[in-house]
Amino acid sequence: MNSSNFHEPQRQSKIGVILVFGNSLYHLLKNLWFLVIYFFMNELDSQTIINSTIGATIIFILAFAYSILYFWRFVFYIDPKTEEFVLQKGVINSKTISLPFHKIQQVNLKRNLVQRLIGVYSVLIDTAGSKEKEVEIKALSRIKAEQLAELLISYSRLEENIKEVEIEGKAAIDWHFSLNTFQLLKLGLISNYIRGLLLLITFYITLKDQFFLNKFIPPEFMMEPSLDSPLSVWKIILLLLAIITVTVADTFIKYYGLRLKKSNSGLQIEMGLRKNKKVSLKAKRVQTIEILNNPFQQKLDLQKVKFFLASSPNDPEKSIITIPGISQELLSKVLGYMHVNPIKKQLTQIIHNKLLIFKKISVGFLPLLLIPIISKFYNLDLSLKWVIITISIYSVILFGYQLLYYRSLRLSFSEEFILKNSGVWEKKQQYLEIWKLQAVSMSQPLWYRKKNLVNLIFHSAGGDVRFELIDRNKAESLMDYVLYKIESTSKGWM
Amino acid sequence: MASLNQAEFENKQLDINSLPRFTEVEFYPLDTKYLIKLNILSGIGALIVVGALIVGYFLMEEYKILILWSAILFLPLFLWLIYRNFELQKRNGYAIRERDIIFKRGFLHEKITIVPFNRVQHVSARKDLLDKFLGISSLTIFSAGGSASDVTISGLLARNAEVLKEAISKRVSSNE
Repeated sequence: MNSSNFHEPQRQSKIGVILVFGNSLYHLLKNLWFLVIYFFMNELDSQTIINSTIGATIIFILAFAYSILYFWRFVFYIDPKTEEFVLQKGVINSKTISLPFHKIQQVNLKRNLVQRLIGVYSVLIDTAGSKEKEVEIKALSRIKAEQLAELLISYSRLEENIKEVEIEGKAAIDWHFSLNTFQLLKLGLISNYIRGLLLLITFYITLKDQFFLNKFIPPEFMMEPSLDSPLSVWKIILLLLAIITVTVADTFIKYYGLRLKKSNSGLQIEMGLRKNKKVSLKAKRVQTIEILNNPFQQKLDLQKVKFFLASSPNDPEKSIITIPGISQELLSKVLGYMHVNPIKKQLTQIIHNKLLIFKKISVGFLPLLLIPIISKFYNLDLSLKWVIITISIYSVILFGYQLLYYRSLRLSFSEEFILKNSGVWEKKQQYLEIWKLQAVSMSQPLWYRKKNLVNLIFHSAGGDVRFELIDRNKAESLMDYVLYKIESTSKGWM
Repeated sequence: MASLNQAEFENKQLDINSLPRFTEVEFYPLDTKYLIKLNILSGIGALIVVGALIVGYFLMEEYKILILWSAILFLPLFLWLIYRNFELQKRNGYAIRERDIIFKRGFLHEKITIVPFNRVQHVSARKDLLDKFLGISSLTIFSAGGSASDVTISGLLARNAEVLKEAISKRVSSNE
């Protein structure tokens, strides 16, 4: 292992040119793909072919030249004097980014499909508070990437971190878990199809927008919701199959190769087909934990867990880590690592006022007000019989759902945690670590005053959790306790 | 950090009733100049609406009756707004304890937010045009809990806002 000197300006691995080139081609294609298709769809005479080939070649060469220049001007080094990590880049406008060591929050290694093929790693540097939220060096050999990560971490004095990025062989593994293809398939089959449906619709609309779909696809295939030709059974089955396929594919892309590894240095999570993400999860950074399971997931013993990490509010996506399916046994191990050990007996419960059911039901009736408006607007001649039948079915469902929802809703707390249970079909448990909370709010509309009820809101760095219609005295004493917990600790919440 | 954790680890029994209660604090009201500001704002808003209605009345013949009705309905709305301004000035208030700041606001929908000083990210004081004119400013206290937990106290005398900002900043940094 020849140790690289990161104090001297460094470039990425030479093979990284391919990555830059591929990336610029990808961006070109992404913006121009419909042109390409449009080109092939029309009749071609030899002149256009020659012209466009020349054009394409020029673009190709320019892109390649750009990639080499970009690669050449992408320089980074560690400056121990000013205590900064410096990155210079840019072909036309050059840009220098300096990251002070103390701002560095986390250093991760990551690679996507292309990076895997050419054998390089991305080094991601997370910072807090600075304008550049995240810096990525896209093509480094494994050895260099690991050295750089280690060096940065040791400079940034994140002592807890050093161990976490240690080379795999060194750390003793306590336990590990990986999801095999069959389990992933099962997960895809039992997951929420609404997302698949939405993806399909988006795809359809983009396709229709980008080029005039009916020009290429015979009108028989268009799904025109015309009333006189009812959808045949086959069409519905075909549509369902498409939705299921898309959902399963989506699951595979997101979670392929999911691996959890707990060693004495921390918990490492790796997943994803297109973008292979590798994160080391620090218990300290986790602000909220959500455990979700529906009866299917319960039966297969694959519960879904979400970790909400501390982040800036502008970037909510990046701060959630979802593990789609792990067994109950493993879940308790993961929670144990996060110090969540809720023993049921220790929990104190606060019950929501029953008025909550009425509130939710009356809110649920609001959409019915739309019926007269819509029927007037479209001149529909609704027969009274049908309106009454629809409304009564709707009411029964609404009542049943809200009753079940109310019964599932629970606020409990132990010395260290606040737990919210909710959900009718998909049961949700949200754990908040009390001392990590940022602020608490209590709100009271005028009409709750007589009943002495309030809404309670806990603000954590991973999002808010609300409890509606709670007895004011109980809410107040819980708030006092939470404040005591936050204010009496000197530990950093992140 | 690890050694610190161990040193800190103790598990004393806690008497819930002996905890300091945030409900026992006395709230400082906002300055009366805040009421002036609110009323000026409502007044400007009303002027714009009335102006639009008058222009509409003379320009759009066919909607005359509709415009008259909206003008009649607008009057109680305006009175209500002014009444609300008085209530807001009376009810909004803040309190500072040793370790946190409490802010209460709202009339129909009252909300109390408490931000512990050891969770405050930064504090900023701001003045808009009216504030400069009236000599007041608003103080915003940011925490990492997202925009819902950020507290903005408007209608503080400029001098008080500075003092408050200093006091909070001092407590925040002494926590670190």
